[in-house]
Amino acid sequence: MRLPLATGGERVAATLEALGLRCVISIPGSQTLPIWDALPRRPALRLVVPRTERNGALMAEGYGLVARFPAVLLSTLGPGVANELVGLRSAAASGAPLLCISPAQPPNKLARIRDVFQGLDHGRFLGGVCKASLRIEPDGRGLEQTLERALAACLEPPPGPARLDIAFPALFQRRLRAARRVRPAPRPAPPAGPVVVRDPSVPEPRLRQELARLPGPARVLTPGLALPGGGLPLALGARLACEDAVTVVIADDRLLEQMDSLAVARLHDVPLCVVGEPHRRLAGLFGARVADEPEPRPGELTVVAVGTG
Amino acid sequence: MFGSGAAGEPGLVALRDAQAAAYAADGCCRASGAPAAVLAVGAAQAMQVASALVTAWSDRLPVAVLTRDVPGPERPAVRQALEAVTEPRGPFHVELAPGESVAAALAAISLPRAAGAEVDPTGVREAARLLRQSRRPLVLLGRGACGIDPALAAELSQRADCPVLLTASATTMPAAALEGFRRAFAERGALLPSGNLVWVKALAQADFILALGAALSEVDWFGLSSLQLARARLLRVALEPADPELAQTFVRAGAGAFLGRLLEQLPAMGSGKGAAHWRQAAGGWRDRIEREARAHAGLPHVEPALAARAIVEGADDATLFVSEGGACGMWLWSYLWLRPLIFPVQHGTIGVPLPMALGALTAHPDRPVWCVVGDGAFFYHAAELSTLREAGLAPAIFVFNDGCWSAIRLAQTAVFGGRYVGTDLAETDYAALAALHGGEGLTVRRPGELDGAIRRARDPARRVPLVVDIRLPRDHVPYAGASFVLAELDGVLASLLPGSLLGAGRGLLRGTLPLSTLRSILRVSRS
Repeated sequence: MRLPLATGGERVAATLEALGLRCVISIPGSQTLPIWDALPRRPALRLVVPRTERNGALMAEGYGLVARFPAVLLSTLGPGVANELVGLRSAAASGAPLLCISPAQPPNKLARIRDVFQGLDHGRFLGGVCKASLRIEPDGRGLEQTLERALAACLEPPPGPARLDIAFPALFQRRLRAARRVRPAPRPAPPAGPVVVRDPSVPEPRLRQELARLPGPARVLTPGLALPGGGLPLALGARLACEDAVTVVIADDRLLEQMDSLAVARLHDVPLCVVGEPHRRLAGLFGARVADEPEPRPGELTVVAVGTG
Repeated sequence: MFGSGAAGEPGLVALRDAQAAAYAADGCCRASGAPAAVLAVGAAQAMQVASALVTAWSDRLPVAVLTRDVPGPERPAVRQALEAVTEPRGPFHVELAPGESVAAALAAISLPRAAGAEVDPTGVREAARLLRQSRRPLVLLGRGACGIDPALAAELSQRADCPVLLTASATTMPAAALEGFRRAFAERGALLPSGNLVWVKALAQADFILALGAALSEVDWFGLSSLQLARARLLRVALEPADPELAQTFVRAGAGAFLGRLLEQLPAMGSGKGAAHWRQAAGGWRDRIEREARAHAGLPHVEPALAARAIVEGADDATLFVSEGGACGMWLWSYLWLRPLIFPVQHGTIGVPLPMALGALTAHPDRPVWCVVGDGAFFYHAAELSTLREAGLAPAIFVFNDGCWSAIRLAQTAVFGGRYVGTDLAETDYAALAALHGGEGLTVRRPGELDGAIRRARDPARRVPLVVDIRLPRDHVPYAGASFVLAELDGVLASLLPGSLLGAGRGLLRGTLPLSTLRSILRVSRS
């Protein structure tokens, strides 16, 4: 049988789908476009476009904590990868599986990396926060198997982030489609019940007070790293992992600093409810509903903004 | 010194976010040419700062990072990230001991001093010989030569009868230095900033290049594997060798000292026609892009060329411009001609203008600061609008709003057959968001509304940040930026070329690449 030609990007997308991955969180870059271009032909993969790589990584952390299976965090090289540092460390600390893929410079550029456009030694920069760092060279050899290994690395207990650099010419190469098929990794069923995400800026007593206002028990998640403002992107990721779950984020009252997450929710049709009259104007700009009291609904992301003073 | 949430440190400018604080230090450093510092408290802040430091590292900026109270378990990851982006000629890291004062740590910092005042006479003789023998010599000034006496550079241009080209990094040198170059070259010699076709032609036609203080990076079109634009003999003068050395001859010396010695040995050469030719070519380029912008004034919508020209022309001479990688930055770059620009050159980092503007205003509180930002990257540090307002700082921020990730969409048009995946943005009212931060917002939808927005931006009575949301059509091609695109896709360009030509043809047929855009590019490319 003659196998069809495929770009490296198509092979990556096909393999991610075959491995059982369902969510790709990615800010665009020229080098990642071959993967983006292949996504519409992989209906099981959903592309979610955050507005900053840092919050994209926190979304992937939230997704991993709820699904107990990773989202793909796909960023462009250099500064795009660098922006993920804090989110990857947070995922490592909370034990969230996360598959971080980025294009990288080919080997002939590594000796002079500082003078290469968007040059950065990703492995050296992020090595301290990831469980594994793998690499695919420009010829694309072993692409499918390496992706499989990267996924296995982030799922292996304790779960956490694993990185895969793909020398970006491999993504543009046209090669025979891989003959070896990969097997889907077992994907656990997400736990039932509502999820509450606590922003690190919210003190414990205030959290208890807010939990008491909610109907019934809930699973409480928080970012692994104490990063104020990390709660909302984490909650957005949690909501993406379980579309009909009740997701509530208890954040501090600086919602104005979280506009990027509100814009992402709007772009991806995540229904949003903001609790509290002071946020009406902001909520209106992003098409969010405003409520006086928390009244969580399945599938809706409810944001309870509390004063932390 | 900049920081986030570390109130109480004397002299600290506090921002909302630690990464933004690092970009503010970066912007301050770019604006002034002097070192700046950022304080990070705890692991999360230190990692945020490390993320931003990547940009300062790539542009070799002396940004000092002071970290404090990073818990033991987090320290290895923080150190590892910071070690990857600190080098002797660039950012550096100081770990504060418990109880150690920030002021004392700052006072103890000593920056590496440029060594090598001695200039090897052999190298000087060789440069003089090559300049004399070449038919089309050229001088390339890098960021490492920005501190030289501009009068010496103009003198060299006149005597060698050749143009002086600024690299992309040198084009964004600190304002005071750039203004010195403008003055020195006003009457003699020829000085060309990068990012335009005249610069490209001069580089491609040269048979000898004397590179002073230039790193010869990829965005300078050196070291590309797909395209070697400069085929001339190359003599490079710098304090550090490039690795691997791209120049046939490398002379370890400071650019200023070398230039002084060179002029001692160089008589006036040529008829003066060489420099005059390039001055004229530069004038022709500027006239053509000016005409293109003016031709858009009668349209019912705002074209980015018109907006960029209006912003540059409308700004006071003292204005510092700040921008980012992406289409908006390239439009601004197209129309700036030796005007001060703060720009992350080697990485083309997006999302940085707001905090960098804050840093620039800290360095130059007496100058207006105008930013041009894209809608895609607006949210990276939009929270700092509140910081600017609270600090009484009033930059003007022009948002090029075409509702998409413009540069990436253009690549989808050209290379991926017009299949647009994921590049649309949620519709957002940026002027209304500015008002929520206590700033001022204006929306520009028609050419006639640009003047009013520019007047408001110039108004000295304004005390809050102004956001001008400029609604633009999609699918535009800036007149600058080729060096960034080529560097970005170096290694796959040859394989993309046939598909790109097909893609462009398909785009023209479908109207996603308007015919008027192609015509405009052909007109400005004519020489």
